[in-house]
Amino acid sequence: MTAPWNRTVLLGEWRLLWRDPAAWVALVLLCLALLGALAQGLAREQALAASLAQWADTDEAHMEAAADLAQRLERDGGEISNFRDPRNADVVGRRLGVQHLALPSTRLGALAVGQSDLHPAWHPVSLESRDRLLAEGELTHPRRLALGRFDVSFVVVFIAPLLLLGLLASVPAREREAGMLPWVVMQSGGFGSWLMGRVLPRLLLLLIPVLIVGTLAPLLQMSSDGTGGEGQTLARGLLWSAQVTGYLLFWAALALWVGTLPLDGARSALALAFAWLLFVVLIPSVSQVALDLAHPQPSRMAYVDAMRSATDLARAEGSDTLARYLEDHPELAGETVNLEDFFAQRLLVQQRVEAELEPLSAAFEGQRAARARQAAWMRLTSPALLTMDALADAAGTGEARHRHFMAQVHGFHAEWRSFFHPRVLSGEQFFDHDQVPGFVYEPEPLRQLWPRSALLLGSTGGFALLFAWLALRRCRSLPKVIGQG
Amino acid sequence: MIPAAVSVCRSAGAVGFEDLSAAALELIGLRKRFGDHEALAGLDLVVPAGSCYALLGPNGAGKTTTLNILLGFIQADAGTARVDGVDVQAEPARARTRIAYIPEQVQLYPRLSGFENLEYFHALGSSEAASAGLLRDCLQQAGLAEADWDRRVAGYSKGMRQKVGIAIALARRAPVMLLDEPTSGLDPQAAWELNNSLRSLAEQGVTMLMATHDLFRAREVASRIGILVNGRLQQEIDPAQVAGPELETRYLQEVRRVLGVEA
Repeated sequence: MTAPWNRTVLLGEWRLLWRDPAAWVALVLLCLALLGALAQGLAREQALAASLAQWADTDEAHMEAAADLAQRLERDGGEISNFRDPRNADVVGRRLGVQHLALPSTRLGALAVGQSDLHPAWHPVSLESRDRLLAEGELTHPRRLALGRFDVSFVVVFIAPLLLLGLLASVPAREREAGMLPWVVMQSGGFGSWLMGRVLPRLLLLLIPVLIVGTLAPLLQMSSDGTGGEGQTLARGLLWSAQVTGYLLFWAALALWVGTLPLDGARSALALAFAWLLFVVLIPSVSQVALDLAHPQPSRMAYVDAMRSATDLARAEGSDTLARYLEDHPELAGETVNLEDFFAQRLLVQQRVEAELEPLSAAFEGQRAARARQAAWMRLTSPALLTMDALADAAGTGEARHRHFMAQVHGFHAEWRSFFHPRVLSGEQFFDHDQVPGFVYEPEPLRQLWPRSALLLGSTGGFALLFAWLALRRCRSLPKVIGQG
Repeated sequence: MIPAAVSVCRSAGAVGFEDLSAAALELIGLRKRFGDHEALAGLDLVVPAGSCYALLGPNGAGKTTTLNILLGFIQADAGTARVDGVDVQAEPARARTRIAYIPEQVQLYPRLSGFENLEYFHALGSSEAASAGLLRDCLQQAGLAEADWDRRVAGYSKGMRQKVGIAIALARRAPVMLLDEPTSGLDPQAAWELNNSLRSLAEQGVTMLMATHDLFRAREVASRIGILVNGRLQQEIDPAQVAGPELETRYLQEVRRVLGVEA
């Protein structure tokens, strides 16, 4: 196959595009959608960064205020409720010193908001149980969640393919309808290369603005923490751009293949519209249904019910629980321990409830993990699913980075508890406000990102290659392709 | 070995070919069937280099099928077809490089001008960009008025598009030109201008095979006329030897004889 993509041919294609109103409409619509999405993403990132900064300041201020008040009460005396006393380790560890751990955005965060309801960018840590903390809520305003997410990734996954297919639906159906194909093939010497020469400029027309926006976003998000430094931003940017290119190449290859079928313009447009519906709507929906059938979500009701039963039991046993605990941990049973101590009892009741729930939690976790594994396989059924995940992953708002963050949260939670538990159980007054553990987010190493991204990008590329191969195979059967067979 | 085509032509009373090695087009025992319909039933035809051959015949005689086989768009069921010595069935892409083709309806991109279309289509088949001067010469030779060169093709008549098609074929500089019903739908003036262009090409040594219904135009431009009926060459005529009315009579007689149609 020859490649007639010399300067004059490309110039001719650009002239055709330049004078085609449909190309302008597609370009303007795409640019408007991209700019709107980028503006929304940047605003979201700005609001999130402000919220996280405010939480960090507030946490620090609360701890300083608690320390000051504790010193003042100790020095000057005074009355204060036991439940607000900053000299009480339980009060500090559970209420006054609550830490809000933040997952800082990458510089590409504005490109893919991600599932912020499932993967919140912050997590409170206190002496409360993990489950209790999970139910604390989302920083984001509910209205924002209700509006859904209109971000650049959404434009790339849903809108850009539609516009691209709109531009490609008439290639080469228009030439076929006009009886122009034999003439074109005669001139070009190769139908496949001519067709690619027609498809590529249309692909570039839409791909270039997307890549420009992808480059602009990190530049406009200079204020972000940009975890991992410039190297990581560059790597994530490259992965994001590669995935976008692979995804749009897939749609171009699909259009190329449809173009080799002996269809007129209307049928070609219908076939491409169906393909969009299939890969972007139907397959993801069916995958979701199949996933729900095979691995249903763990029942929240069953969990809450079990938690209530365990809590009732532990509370009913009250001080027996504390006594049993101290028998097991005699090193903590100092003279100052008061068996009737409310705070110590509460802590131990909580621990008992957690221990009771451990098997159920493990079963639920296993169920969730199985569901996640199945979902990972099901992504392979559609390039749209692959790309949605890949773009979020590259932008740092995907599930994997959130899991990495949550592992650190759990580690910090354990550290927090191991700091406060002995102090609560000892019943001594607490003045170690300046010694409470602090949290520093450890960025996800790139070596963890590469294999995941390679899998997603490779799978998307596989889809593109499959359709390109099908198209090239059909191009070998020239009479059928040009409608003479 | 003498190709069977020669004996067929001679038996039909045609002028024999003195220099077979200079044949630009050779069709030997070409057969093609579409379902129950036999489009070509062993067609033998030789067109010497530098000559203009007009293939006349009623609808369904096999003219377009013959051209499509030469263009490599259709595979023949049997027989051999060579263009400038290249077997079109074995090497269709290589054979196409030796052909310039002008379809019945020359379709161009309406949003490009005549010159831009020429530039685009020429560049499709060439790794080197042609100079603007060369392309303008081609348009001039094809007979398109200079004032129309930079106008968008959307406003062109069929005759004007046909001229751009000829210019594209000229720029291709192929030794063989295939024309499918070139005068169909043209007004007399446009048809006359087209014939002038084709005569000029013939003088330059371009070999032409033209499938047409237009007896009178064929007689004006062709150096040989073949009457194709039911996928077989029935008779070859030297147009210089017959007058227009006689050509029509012989054509009709041949068609009626083969098809069994009453006068």
